[in-house]
Amino acid sequence: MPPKRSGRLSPSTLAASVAAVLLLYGAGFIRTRAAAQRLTQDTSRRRPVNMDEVQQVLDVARFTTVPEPTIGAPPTPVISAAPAFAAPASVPPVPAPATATVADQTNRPPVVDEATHVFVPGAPAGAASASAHGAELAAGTAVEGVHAGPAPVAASTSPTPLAAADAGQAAPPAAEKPKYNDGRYLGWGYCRHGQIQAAVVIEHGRITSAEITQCGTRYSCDWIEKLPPQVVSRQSPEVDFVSGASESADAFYYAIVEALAQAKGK
Amino acid sequence: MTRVTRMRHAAERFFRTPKGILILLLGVLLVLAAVGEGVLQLWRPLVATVAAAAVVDTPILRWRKRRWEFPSGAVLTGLLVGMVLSPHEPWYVGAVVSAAAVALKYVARTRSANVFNPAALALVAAYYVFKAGHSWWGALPDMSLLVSIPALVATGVFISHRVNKLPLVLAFLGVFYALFTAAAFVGDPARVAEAFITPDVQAALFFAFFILTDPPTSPTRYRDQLICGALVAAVSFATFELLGVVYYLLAGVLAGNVQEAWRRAHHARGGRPVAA
Repeated sequence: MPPKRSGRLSPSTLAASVAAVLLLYGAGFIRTRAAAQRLTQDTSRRRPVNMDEVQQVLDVARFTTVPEPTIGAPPTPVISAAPAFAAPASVPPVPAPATATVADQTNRPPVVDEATHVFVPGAPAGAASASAHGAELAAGTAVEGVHAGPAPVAASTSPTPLAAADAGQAAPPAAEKPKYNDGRYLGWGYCRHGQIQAAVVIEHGRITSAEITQCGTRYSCDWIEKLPPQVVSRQSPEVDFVSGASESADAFYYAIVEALAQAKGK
Repeated sequence: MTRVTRMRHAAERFFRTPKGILILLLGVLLVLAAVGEGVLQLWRPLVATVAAAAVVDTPILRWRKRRWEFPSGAVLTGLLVGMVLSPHEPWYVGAVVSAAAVALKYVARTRSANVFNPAALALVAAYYVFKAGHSWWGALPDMSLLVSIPALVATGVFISHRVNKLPLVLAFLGVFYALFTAAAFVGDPARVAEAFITPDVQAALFFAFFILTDPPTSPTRYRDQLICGALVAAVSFATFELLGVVYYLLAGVLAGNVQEAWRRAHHARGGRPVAA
């Protein structure tokens, strides 16, 4: 690109330079087109769609590993008909009759939180009602009481402020199966701005800790620093959307989902 | 000649200068961005960044030049900071960043000009100090490519040609996409796919046309422009690959600023003419 005597680029030099830039860009664009399409699809495929995939994974585990409830002690609906509070908008409302059965649950719309679908074989109905805890209080003392026994049960879900009262009536969870296996699990979540690795710690079948272990996004993960505590408090990957950091929040969400899937499948 | 007439003539002269033209062109992009993002979302952070920069720069200019002067450089800095910084940031973050940008212009400078592009330096600092996000909304990433690319290219080529920095822009874009394309062929294409799609494409164009070409901090001679453009592209690419941070473009221009300041200082010591 030699300078012209007049101090301006000649039209031919300018045209050749622009053509070269377009050629380089075009070659790279074609080479990365497939990957870019995947990125775009991942970005546009927001939680409701991904929820189904997660639900499929969780359904497989649920209906193949969880023992059937005993006759006379039907599982209490794990999803409360009470209005959810703090429930993300992306989660479809799940109406559940007060006497829902296992068969009923198979027909339910997908619900993200595995914690909401824990059955208590052989336990009185009151115990099952204890599993209908709201996400906000899932990590509270009421749930701790449920898990006091040697065979902890994973509680709850659909957020309801009434859960605290239910917890006091919880039956011994002797025969309950934890929803997650104890241990520390890692998962990766991806967005178009990078990837996030998250870790969850499961103790007595419950999420006791969640953290971002690697932040590979181009934006600071401080933007989503409030999300890990939400995973613990809600016992769910369903964290808030973060205005201005929605993709990082989604990447964190996917990372938690992957980690919990491993906790389930261990 | 009345006072109003004198002011009108002064305004006409100002908007024929590169700074005046750039303010007008950024105004065009702002109007388009407001259509895409919403005026309510944008006006507060933008007013904060521009006003804060002007408030800081006006008394400094008065002290340095012994007369009142319109802080056109500060307005530009405020606009650039506001158009890069995420509109989701609190308004006071933009104000502080913008004011710091103007202040840094007077702190880090050689005899002839400031060393760093003030907006770029403050935005990088804001990433660490405020964890501030860079959305580059002024590059129209939320608009259709049929609108955003022609708007950026038309306004960008106009101002780049006006300040005679087209070689710098083309050198940057050429080396930038050559490196990313090479990386796509040599390694995993997914690692660099972002560079070829929205919003990075718009950000790269906005950066090349409106930030890289800042006259006080960029070279004048074509040969120097080619070297600087290639260096900025290489550092931007390396920052993207090694750090993966959102300010990878701005890191490149800061490296180019240092190289340009060193070149000017080196030539000044050698007694050769320095193009400022």
